Amino acid sequence: MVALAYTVAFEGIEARLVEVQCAVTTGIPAFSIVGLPDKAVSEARERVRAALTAMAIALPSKRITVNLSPADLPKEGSHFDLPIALALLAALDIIPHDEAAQTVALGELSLDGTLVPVVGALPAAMAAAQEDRTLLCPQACGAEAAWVGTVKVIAPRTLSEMVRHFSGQSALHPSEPGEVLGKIGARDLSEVKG
Amino acid sequence: MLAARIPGILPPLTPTEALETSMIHSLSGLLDEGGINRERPFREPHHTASMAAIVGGGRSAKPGEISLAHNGVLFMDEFPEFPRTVLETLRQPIETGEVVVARANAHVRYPCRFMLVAAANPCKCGYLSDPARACARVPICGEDYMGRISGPLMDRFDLRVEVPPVAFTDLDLPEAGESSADVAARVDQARRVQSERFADHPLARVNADMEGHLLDEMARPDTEGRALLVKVAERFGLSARGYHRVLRVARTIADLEGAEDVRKPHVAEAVSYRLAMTKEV
Repeated sequence: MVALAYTVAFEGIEARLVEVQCAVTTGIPAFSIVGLPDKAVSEARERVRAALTAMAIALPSKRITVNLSPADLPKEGSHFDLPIALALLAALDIIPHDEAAQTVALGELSLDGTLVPVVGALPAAMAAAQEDRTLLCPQACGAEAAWVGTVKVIAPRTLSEMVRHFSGQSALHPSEPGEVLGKIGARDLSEVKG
Repeated sequence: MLAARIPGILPPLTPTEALETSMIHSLSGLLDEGGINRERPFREPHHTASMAAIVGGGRSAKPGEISLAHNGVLFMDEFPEFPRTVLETLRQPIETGEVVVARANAHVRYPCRFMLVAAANPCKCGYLSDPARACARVPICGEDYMGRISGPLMDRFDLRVEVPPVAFTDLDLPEAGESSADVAARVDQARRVQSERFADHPLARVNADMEGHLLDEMARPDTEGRALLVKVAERFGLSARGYHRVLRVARTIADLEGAEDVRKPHVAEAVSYRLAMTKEV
């Protein structure tokens, strides 16, 4: 059965919704990503594999195919790690399918399963708000994404925190918007002479 | 020093503007700690910056400095030292407020409504106005140096001010200038007048956005003002763009003064900002 998760691809400041489909089927064991991934997206494979291993989840000896749809849109950046991991975890029945399909996820994975902040959390949150989905992003991006206001932002620190959230073991609180920065060290006109 | 203080006198970003600007900054990874800044951005690219760095581009069509300065100030110090190709690319974005970066594998539109502030030395050696130290090539050297800025680009500068060198005896004087807060209050007042004026016009937010009918209607000077403007236009060969821009500046000067109508003194002041460094034709 195919598990779904969603993420975005950036076109300028617009974030286009990308569907991440993951199928675990019988066949020669392999893990492949298709749908015009660039180098950083292809390498997500190794990061996802290592991050799952860090959580003591071994990939089954089956054929795992991840498709990033629309397949003709070039996918760039390292923020595809998290949605790929999410779709894969759903395909492995570790987290519920419908929970995974209800989110827009972005984030980079480190080999030990920590989520690394990525750029573009704010435009992604706007896209999630339009689609009426929850945004899933690394903790460091949560405050930025929560600025959109109309979107629920879940920002776990690690992949295992995310799994515990979705499996209902320990739910995370939605992120709060960051502080409005004041005029830090604003320079004053009266200092100008002449 | 002066340019860096411009964001301090501008009103804070409205929530919509802050979101627009932050989206671009978010894509470039410039938001600190997830905080959104309500102060207007101030960007200061070095004059060795490439075209892609200024207008946006590169392999994945990233936003450039003009987009990072969206709703804020782009300060280009040593303006004539920027490569000509870089300077000329600014022309279109200044007018339209957005830039389309077209590459083989990307076709991207970025917003870029920025205030361009440029500074330059009067000539290559920098002593044009000081007869004791100026080089032998005065005044040709100054004309050559300013000639690096093309006519159409120069035409897009509404306010041109010649800044004489500051004597170091002046540096010892106590602070005498107005504080940013005082100026900001005046600017805020003028902006409020403008947002009331354009309440029914969704396309315009400030005087600079006025075009066509709107400009005719809102910035029409009185008879004396018009007469002055026509005379100046003939004598100094104002372009159509220059003519409209003088009207917008005059309207803004009137707003700052709290005047209802655009009168001759307002037009005269606006004209004086345009004609600095211009010769009669």
